[in-house]
Amino acid sequence: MTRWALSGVGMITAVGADPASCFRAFCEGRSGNAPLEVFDATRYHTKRGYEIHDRPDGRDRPLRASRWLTEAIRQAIASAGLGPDEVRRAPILVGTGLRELRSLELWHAESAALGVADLHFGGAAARAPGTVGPVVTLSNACAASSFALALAEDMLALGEADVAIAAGTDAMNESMFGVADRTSADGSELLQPFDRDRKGVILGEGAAAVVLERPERLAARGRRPLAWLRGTGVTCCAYHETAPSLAGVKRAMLEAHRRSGVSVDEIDVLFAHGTGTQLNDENEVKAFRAVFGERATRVPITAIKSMTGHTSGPSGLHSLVTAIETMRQGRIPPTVGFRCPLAEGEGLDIVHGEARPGRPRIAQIDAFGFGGVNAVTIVERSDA
Amino acid sequence: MSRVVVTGVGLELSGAPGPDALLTPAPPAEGHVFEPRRKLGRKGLYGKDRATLLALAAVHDALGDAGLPRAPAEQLDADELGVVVSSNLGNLDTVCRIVDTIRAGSVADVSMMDAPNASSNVVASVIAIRFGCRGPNLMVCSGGGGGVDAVHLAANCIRAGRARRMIVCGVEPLTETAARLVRDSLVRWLGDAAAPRLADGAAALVLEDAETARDRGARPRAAVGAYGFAPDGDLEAALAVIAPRPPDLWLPPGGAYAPTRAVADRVRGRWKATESIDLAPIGEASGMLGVLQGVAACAWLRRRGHGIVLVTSGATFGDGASSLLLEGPPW
Repeated sequence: MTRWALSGVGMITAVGADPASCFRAFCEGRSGNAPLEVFDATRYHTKRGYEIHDRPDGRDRPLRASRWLTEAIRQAIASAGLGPDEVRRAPILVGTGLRELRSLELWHAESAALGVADLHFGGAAARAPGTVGPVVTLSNACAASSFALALAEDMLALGEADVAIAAGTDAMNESMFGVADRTSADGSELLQPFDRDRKGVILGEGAAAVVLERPERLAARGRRPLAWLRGTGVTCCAYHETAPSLAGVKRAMLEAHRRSGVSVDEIDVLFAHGTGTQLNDENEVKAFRAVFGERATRVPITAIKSMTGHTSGPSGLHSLVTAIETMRQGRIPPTVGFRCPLAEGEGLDIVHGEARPGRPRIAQIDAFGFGGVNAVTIVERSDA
Repeated sequence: MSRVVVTGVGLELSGAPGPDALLTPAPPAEGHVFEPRRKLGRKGLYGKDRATLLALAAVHDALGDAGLPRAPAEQLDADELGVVVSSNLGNLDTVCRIVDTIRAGSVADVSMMDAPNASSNVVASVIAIRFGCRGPNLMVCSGGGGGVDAVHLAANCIRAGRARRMIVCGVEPLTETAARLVRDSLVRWLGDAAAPRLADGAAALVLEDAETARDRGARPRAAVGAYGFAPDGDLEAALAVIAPRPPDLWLPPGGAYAPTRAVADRVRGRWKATESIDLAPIGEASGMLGVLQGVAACAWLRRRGHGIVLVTSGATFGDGASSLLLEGPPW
């Protein structure tokens, strides 16, 4: 059974500037939901978002996603205890839903400076100390950073590298906020995963990064992993540009289990994709029940988008870094705003109210994106 | 580790009626009009943006060339057929148009037809829907080197057992927004205010596990070899690692720009016996270039019968350069 060492983590969301502060906020049930800071709220039904507060003057500026990415990668490298020489040639795979399209909007509408090289993250990723790349920017919608992790794992498995960085970043932009708004019922105020009365998705923003390392190399450095990566299954629904299919999502879960060599009986917690939309939540729950069978009602489920908003590209790694903290600190964050389950979710154990004690051994992390791109990851606790 | 081979190529490019035309690259023909219905028929094209239509046309050709079905219901091993698209400029005009619409009125004025195109991976997902590809689906937006990155990542998906076959497509549409951004970028990079010509088209490859290809009687054109990356400026050193012996053919990057051409000239000076085909005359190809170079490489290998080809894209506008070896028979 192959497993890879997750040796470092980095994370930025609306509620925290690093993994520790994010996790503390999550366990306290603190959400980043707030009135829109910069967009003209009069033009939308949804007037709220889960934004990062780095615009004290209320004016937007380009390249925020790039800056958060550099910082998240820096955090991950530091937490892995790696020096610049040791990450020099590490491939960096960045998953994003919107790359720097916000900066493009500001270039187009407000004369911000921008060049084609700013649209992707080759420069930003390589600004973390010591890194030179290769840097690949994957624009894979809401599953992007989990896809990045899958490709990073493959590079290690194929002997291309001994250490790789998987990351993700997204800043909200007007066009996607508008598209999300148009598909919500009548203006969401809250992102409420799996709730019967959920009104739709609301965007968030942030970045995340993990260092993936060959276990022998980590051991040779005298360190233990924060957690083990068992594997990621990726599929495409090939069904509809924006709506998911049950078959594609189920297959991603099954593929993850197969590649990881785990059975559903071993999975102790689900960090759900949980976007609070009619389609995703219903589809995700149905797929989960179909794959887990009788076990489904005994696996605690949580959805951190209830506190971070839909961070899109980085959301898979946001959940993964949180799952790692859960395993290390023994607490599962609650799904904030959850009151009553959707019909298909009756009987499921959705963690809510407050953080729940527990040290799961194996976690499943779901990420399903626009365009039917699906990635499910299995992570194992490091008993270090 | 399983070998990965190219079993089909496709092209939809103004100025190039077919892959062989890339061997003597020329600027786009005056007055050329892209007519998607010619290859794609009339159905299912409504609301698709230009990049998506160009990509569908190129992939349509590549699947035919590979002897693979095009209809989802007939697709071979659909769960193990994936897609990687490389594009940087694809949905820029849609995004800007949506912003203009919202700012002039409200979100209610946004056309739902534009909605899928606001997400950068629309091309990859539409290809999957149209041709029935349920394996890994990736959208690479890595700048100038993205096309080569896409071929490499697709090959890795096969080597890692995630797919048996992968469609790789590079596409860049000529849109007003793309042209304006590239012009601004040129000013920032070289202080050059001349309006660069953008290529307008798509190129596609079908990659396949070699054994799977042999089992169904498919004809391989090239084997996918080693990949290498050079941060901006370090191209010569990186090429020495990936190609310790000079290749028979090199497809270099960025010949339209003086600094990139200067580096390429130094490399060519050392590789005196190496043939070179610079695709610069077709225009700035951005994320499409690496895949286009792959199509050209296969055309060259078919004519010559054998050889080692190196393709390099990127090294422009501050981007790093990605390189890949493509090897002709015997394997």
